[in-house]
Amino acid sequence: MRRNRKGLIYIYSSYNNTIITVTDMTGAEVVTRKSGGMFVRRDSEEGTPYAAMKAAYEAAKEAISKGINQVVVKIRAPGGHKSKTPGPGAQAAIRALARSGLMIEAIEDVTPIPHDGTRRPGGRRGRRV
Amino acid sequence: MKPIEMLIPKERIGVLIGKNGETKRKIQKVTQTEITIDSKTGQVTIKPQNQQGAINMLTVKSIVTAIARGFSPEKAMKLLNEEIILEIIDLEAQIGKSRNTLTRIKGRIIGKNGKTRQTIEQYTSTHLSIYGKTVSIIGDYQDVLDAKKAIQLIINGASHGAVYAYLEKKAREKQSKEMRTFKISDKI
Repeated sequence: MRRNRKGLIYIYSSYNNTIITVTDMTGAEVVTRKSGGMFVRRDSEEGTPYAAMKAAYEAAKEAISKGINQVVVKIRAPGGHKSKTPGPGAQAAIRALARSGLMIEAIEDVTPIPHDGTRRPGGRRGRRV
Repeated sequence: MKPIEMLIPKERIGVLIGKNGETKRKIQKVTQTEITIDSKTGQVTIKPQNQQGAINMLTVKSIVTAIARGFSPEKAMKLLNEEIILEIIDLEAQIGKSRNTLTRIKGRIIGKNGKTRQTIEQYTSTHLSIYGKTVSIIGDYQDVLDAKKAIQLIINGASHGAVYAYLEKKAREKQSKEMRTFKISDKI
């Protein structure tokens, strides 16, 4: 297996979960995929910083074992008309990656920003329960 | 990482900079980033100083947002801890654009002489800031969720008594959970 490859890490961080996908440089070949929900028992804990840290750590471990040692991190929030700030797991995931021994070349924010897209749900009078 | 650009309210610029630039300098030093503030428009630009700074970018952004949403620098600096998160509730998205409703709901969250806000802060050990059209919470992940739920109840029209009862229940749950984890770790 080829060693010292470069890779991409996509971190999707919402309030409900954190999904970490490691791919090769083209982005077409997925090396490993981990999510916060794989490491906690309760559904409500999927988005916690702890779960994100665990997922990032495991993903980094697997990526290193498959020969990736240099990465570009692309981070995103749900975006669109939903939240444009990454959830609580994002920061924890980045820290865990930095500590895991992977060389982080760049961190980028790739949250989709609408150029006036669809209308946010809720209507003129706000969300009524 | 590309520099982060954001706008903050003009009256919060002074707080972000601090006396003789103290607050700004402290944030820059701890996180190894560079913050530039345009004091005419309120435009804030955050740049990393080095590799470590790039990793801290999101933290700096949340600290600046916290200060912009009415928190004191001391409380905002708590966000340097990884487990402490900032949550912002946009009131306008939930209750619409009416000024009177906004004032009424804000008043209900704060309570007489700030009693309700104080109760929420004490029971969930979080910090609250009610500023403009937003309510912001700083605290531990689970605590923030509890506080958010309590505020949601108030916004939806629950009586203050019901909210206090909810908070008390949550505080009790947390205490018994902590005791259990303590016992398990004791055995080991």
